Amino acid sequence: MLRLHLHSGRRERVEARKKLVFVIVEGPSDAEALGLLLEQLFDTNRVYVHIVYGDITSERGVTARTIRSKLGQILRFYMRSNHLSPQHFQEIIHLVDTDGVYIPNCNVVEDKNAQHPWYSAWEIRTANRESIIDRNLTKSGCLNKISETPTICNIPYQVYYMSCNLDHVLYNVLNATDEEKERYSLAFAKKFKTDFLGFIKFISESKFSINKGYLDSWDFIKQDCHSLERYTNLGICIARARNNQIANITS
Amino acid sequence: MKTDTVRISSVTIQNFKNIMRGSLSFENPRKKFRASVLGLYGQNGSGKTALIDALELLKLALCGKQIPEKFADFINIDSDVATFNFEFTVMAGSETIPLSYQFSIQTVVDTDERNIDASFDPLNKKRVEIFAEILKCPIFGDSKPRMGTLFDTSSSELLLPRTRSQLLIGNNKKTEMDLLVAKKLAKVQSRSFIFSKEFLTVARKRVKDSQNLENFSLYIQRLENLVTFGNYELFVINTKNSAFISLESQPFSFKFSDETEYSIGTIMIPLNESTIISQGSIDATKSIIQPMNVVLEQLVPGLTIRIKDLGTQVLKNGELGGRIQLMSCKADKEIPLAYESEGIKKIISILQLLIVVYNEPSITVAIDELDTGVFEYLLGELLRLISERGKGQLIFTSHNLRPLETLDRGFIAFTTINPYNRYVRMTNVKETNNLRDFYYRDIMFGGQEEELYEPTRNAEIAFAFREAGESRGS
Repeated sequence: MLRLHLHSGRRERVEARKKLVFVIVEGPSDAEALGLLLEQLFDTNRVYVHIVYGDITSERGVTARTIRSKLGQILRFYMRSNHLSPQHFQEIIHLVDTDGVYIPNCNVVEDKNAQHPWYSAWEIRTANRESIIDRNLTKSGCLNKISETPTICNIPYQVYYMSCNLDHVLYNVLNATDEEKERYSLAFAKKFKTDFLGFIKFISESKFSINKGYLDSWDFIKQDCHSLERYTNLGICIARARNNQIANITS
Repeated sequence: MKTDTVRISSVTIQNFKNIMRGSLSFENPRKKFRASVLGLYGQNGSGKTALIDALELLKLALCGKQIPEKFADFINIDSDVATFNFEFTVMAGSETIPLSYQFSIQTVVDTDERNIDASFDPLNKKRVEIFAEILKCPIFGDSKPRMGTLFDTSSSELLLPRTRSQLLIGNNKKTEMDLLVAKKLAKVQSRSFIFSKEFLTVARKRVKDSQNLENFSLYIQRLENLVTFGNYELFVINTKNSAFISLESQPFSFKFSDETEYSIGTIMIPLNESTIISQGSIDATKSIIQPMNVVLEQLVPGLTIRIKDLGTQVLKNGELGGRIQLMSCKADKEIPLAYESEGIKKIISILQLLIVVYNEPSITVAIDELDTGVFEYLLGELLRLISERGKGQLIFTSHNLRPLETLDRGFIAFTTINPYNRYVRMTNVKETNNLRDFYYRDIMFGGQEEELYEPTRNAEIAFAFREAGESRGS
């Protein structure tokens, strides 16, 4: 009914309305680091940062076959609890860690002393090699699937990577503890809160910035050990948002 | 005269608290409801309570009571004068008569007691002056009665227009002198002049003495309508009143009439201990509690309250009174009402007023934060009941949005973030839209001509929380 109303006669008013940018991140410190800046980036719209506690792309039971319906579930639950429908959304932005999932299996090294998987730019050391190889297979399948997914629930969807994870890209720290994540994320948000252009430059013009086309940037990360190295394609998202902003201002 | 009913049909507020200008009609143009309900919604600090405060001010003015000093601080910081205009509809028999009452308040610093110039002393007492009162009603002329000024106190003369002043005092110089003094006195005492005892006494005497002034007596009838309304029919419950509950006292606001007299007021009965009150107050309280229990039992299944008599006592003035304690009874068990939940105490404290609103067309009740402590489902159903089947006028503010789903949308208004246009009705709502969802979406995405919500950004809030924690050293 609302849709009818939106598409009849009142088009102008509705188009003047803000829309929601739905951002999915993996943890609270990720939201803390980027939330503020994303709100600034999509200034004319509303930004909702949805925190998934844990990595849905390597969650139990989530595979390349089910990842889309998993995302759909998250979206539908949010829409239901906020009485929204797809037309209230501008887009979905999903931030994922690559966690080295595309590396050759020979770079996953058995190490009895590694209580948790230990990441470096060339290998993952782990006490349980089989499980990491397994995870890599499933998660890379998921990433392949979602990086080729144009919409979720009819809402434009794009997924951007942080390689090998968000801490690596933003703070150049690997294997951070939860406390460290919290500390670094606050420092990061503070640093760029008043320096938005600095943030854009940092994400888009650093050595780790992958500024190819969207799909090309995904092809790049799949090669060799790139998914363990420090890279992000988030700059593509920023450039797109900035272009939209400029288009809005000039129109 | 008793059958006349008065309703507030609209209010305009200027330079009061954070309202530079706000105008709100209490009429529901959508359907003919007997009840007049208005729920005001909006962000914190957007002017909801200001509406209730304005109604409290109206009540004080109509009762000829002193305006408390606190209102001096309510005048907008950028202005010297706050102005209020209330429009009323009087239903007298089959006739519907419009009335309006406008007045302004300003702050005056009292330096009276000292003969030196100390006008900047921060210890100076402030008081509120009420002035420029303008009362309008249909004025009789050669042709059809037309809305015009009945009395206007804004000039230095006694009253304008002169013809009405003449009607009131005739050629009696002494009366004129007396009233001029009364006008000055009312100002100094922070009271309304038109509704002062002195003014009304002269007007009433004039009506009685001069049988041939038929129009004049009709004019004074309109004045009396408002006096009755202010004194007996308008109830304003602000958060200060409900704070009594936290002060461990239960207010019983009541209004009932038998053949001989009206009785109104608030009896405060302490909750945490027994108290001694006069026999009259005991009788009044008992007669309030009995009908209340009928409803209360339905709202909170099985719950009733009663007064426990702890014996007769002699009061200070020699009269007989009694020591009593308020008890709540549930499943044959009695406990002091003090130990009931805040929510139940809140329901009890406003229930009596809701009962009169439900039953009597002449009653107007304004309640700030009606939803505090009341379970959402119950709140929604209570309001639905009152709006659909009640007869009186209920004005309330609330943060709980459930009533948006259970009340007719014509009963709902919103505050905006624009201080120059504080109150609006929602536009572009379809008949099938859920108003609560609609409001939520407007908060999130905008879409009304006036913005209803000062955007708050979740990430900013989260960041501020973290930063505040950091500077605490945690």
